[in-house]
Amino acid sequence: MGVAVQELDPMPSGPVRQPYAAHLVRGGLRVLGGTDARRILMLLVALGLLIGAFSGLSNGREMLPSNLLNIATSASLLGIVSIGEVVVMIAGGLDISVGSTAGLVSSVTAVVMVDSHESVVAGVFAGLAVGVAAGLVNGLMVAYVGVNSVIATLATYSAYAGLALLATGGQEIGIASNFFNVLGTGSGLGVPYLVWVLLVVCLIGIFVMRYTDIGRQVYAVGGSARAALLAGIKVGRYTTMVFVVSGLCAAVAGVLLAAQTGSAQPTEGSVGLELTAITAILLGGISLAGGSGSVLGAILGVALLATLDNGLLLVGLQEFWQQVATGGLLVTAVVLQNYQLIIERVRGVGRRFAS
Amino acid sequence: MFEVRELSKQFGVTRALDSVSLDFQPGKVTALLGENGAGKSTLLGILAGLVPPSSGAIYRDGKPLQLRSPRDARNAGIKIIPQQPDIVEGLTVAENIFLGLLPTAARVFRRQAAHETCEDLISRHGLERRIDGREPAAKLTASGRQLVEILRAVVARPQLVAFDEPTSALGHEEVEQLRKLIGEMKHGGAAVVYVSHRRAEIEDLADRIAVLRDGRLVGKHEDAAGVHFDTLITEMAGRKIADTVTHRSHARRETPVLAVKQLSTRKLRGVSFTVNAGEILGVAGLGGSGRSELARALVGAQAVTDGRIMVDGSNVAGTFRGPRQSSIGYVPEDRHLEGLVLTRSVRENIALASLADLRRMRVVRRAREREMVQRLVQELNIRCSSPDAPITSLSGGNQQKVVLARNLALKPRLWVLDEPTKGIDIATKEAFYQLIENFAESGAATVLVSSELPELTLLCDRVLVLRRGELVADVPRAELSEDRLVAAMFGELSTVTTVDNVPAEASGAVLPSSVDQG
Repeated sequence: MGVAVQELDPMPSGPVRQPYAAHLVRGGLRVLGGTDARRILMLLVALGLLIGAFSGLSNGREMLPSNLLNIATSASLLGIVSIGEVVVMIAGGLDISVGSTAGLVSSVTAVVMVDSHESVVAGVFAGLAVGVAAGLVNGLMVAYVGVNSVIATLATYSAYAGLALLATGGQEIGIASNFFNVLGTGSGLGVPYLVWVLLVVCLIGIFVMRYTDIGRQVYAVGGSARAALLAGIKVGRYTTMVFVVSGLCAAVAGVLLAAQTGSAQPTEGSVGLELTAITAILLGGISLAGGSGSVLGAILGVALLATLDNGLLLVGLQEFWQQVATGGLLVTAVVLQNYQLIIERVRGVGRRFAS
Repeated sequence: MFEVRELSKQFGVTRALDSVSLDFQPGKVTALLGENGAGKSTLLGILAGLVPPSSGAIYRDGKPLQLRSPRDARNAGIKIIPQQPDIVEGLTVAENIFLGLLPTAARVFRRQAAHETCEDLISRHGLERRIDGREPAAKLTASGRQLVEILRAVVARPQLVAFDEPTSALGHEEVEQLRKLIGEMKHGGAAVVYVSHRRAEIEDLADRIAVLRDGRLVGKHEDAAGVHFDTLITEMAGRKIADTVTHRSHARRETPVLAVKQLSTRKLRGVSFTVNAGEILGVAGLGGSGRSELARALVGAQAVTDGRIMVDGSNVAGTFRGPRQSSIGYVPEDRHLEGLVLTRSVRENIALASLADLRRMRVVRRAREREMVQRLVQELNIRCSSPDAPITSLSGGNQQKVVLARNLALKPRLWVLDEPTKGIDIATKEAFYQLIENFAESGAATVLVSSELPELTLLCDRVLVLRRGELVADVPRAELSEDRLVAAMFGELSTVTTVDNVPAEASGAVLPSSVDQG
């Protein structure tokens, strides 16, 4: 916020003319994230500080391009899942089933591929279709049956995890296709394909949520479903859609998981993914109440989380500490993001001692 | 005696209160007047211990008070009755009334004692028919909730009690009880602060009047009876307001936009009427008479059990098509719950219903959107720091204008306005009245549902009166008066000849009346 000259009338009618410099700053902030700009700026600063701190502790190893790429690769599946999840959260819901969906999709992909004599197309297509169907079930339950999204997806969280185990029959299923495995382990232009996929999903997410009327309507549904309905928005359709998007993102992650490991992964790599994704999104400043936040914020939240994990590993701290640190980071972030409220409260306490 | 001295409160760049000094004398009702955003709520918030002041202090009998929490305020003998009642829905009505002061024995809650005391309390104030101490609070109506808040104040026996627009949710009978109760508190030596936008209440209750504008105390009148209301309005608005709005009928008798035939819903029974292009049709009725349900039914947001709603010749009963397709502009009664997306900006709220006109290949065209929003912001004189300001940073009246702007962008053929000026300051109300007149002039048909009778008598070509779901009167402009409407609304208390089922001819309608007798 630029420093405003105190005027007699603090709320003049119509838009105010601003000094040119303020206009430039505002323009820059708008590119970063519109009304969310301040939050995005804070996240970037936090990320910079974290990388800086770990660089100091690890003699600069943290900052090496190869390590940064490591971070991005290790966070790619989480990132893709988080983009779907944040869309659901902006629409005012929560999707607990994304981890199970990813597991189910990885299993289905592997099974179909083995059954179809290593047809990559059939495997990937089947996997994505299962993800969309899984999301559709969630969406229809929430939008038209009226089940609370946490309850609905908690139910499918369990059901999809069970289906994943049923699909593999509890057996190890390996994928022989080299071409498919390269998708999960290879790289192009020096950057792993996993990261490329994350980048593409991320750009699509940002574009749709920020520049299209679809995004606008999702925000409105999350902010007030009733007001959105009365403004003529098809609330049921959009509610269903966000869960399908989330299912699809989880499916992309599931397919990549199968590609990365070269086998069906009903549990490994996908269990608990939903909670990590929600943690990352909350780190990114997205509220559980819906109607606010951004895809960029969520991605920065993922980056923060991944940097922390990687940095602690480099510094050589015991693995268990990572979990403690994640919790600490989340609390710190939430406190910082609500600093105005907290300052207000602290000032109230301060007066007690002042007089 | 309570007083505040040089009280200021800064919120960011906004000075909500600016060096206000005011005393509250025991045994007197001090009416606190001011437009929305004038600082009334901030002042009450400070007294309630909810908002810490930036500077200045509160004194009781000359000694400074430290109010750091609602508990401190209560201990200091201050009770603020908020506009939005705070009710714990999981508890009973009695438990809510005694909240914080529950009768206990060795820390064990004495339920029976609480309920007995509560029954006493309720019957002493003649509210037996309104609320029941043993009922779960979740079942309370809006007026019941308000009554619980008021009874809490009675139980607390405060020396300073403030009512923040207490009657906005109350019916006539309850307002009467409230008046008695305020009288009792006054005679008990309490200082009463009364915030209201209703002229009749202020003239009736106030002993003294204080006027706030832009956070400053701009008027203090020790003798309320000696002040002319116009003086107060001038002080509130900072300029002289004559009755700037005059009604001119633009009704075109041969072009009905809306024809309702034998409409029945959960509450409504067989309601029929028509509205012509350019006509402003008022709908009056007590709370629960079905007036809001009628508004919802017209836009399709309410299930219809029988009858037809013809808009421009096609039946739309029970189908909701949204403002853009139906060409019906709807301003719902509760703008926070139904009108606005509170997490978004002014711009996004205004553009919400017009996105289909603003997009190309599903991408919202920012320049075009900005242009449209700026035009509407100027046209409706919406006071905001920028179109990108959060909607919550606007005052209530300006928020309501945003709801209007969203609909106006679609140039609706029919407006359905449900209490459009509820909780809006007087100057903004006048602006609203002018806008409604403009809608009519441009040829739109308007259905104005309102509990503010002066509003209906000022603006409407005709007023329908609903009572218990039935259409009981259709009053043409020539016969329009507040007395006439009140009589029809209450029915049995009617002092004039019964207005039930007035035939079109007998009512002397200037416009073709439409009370369908079939």
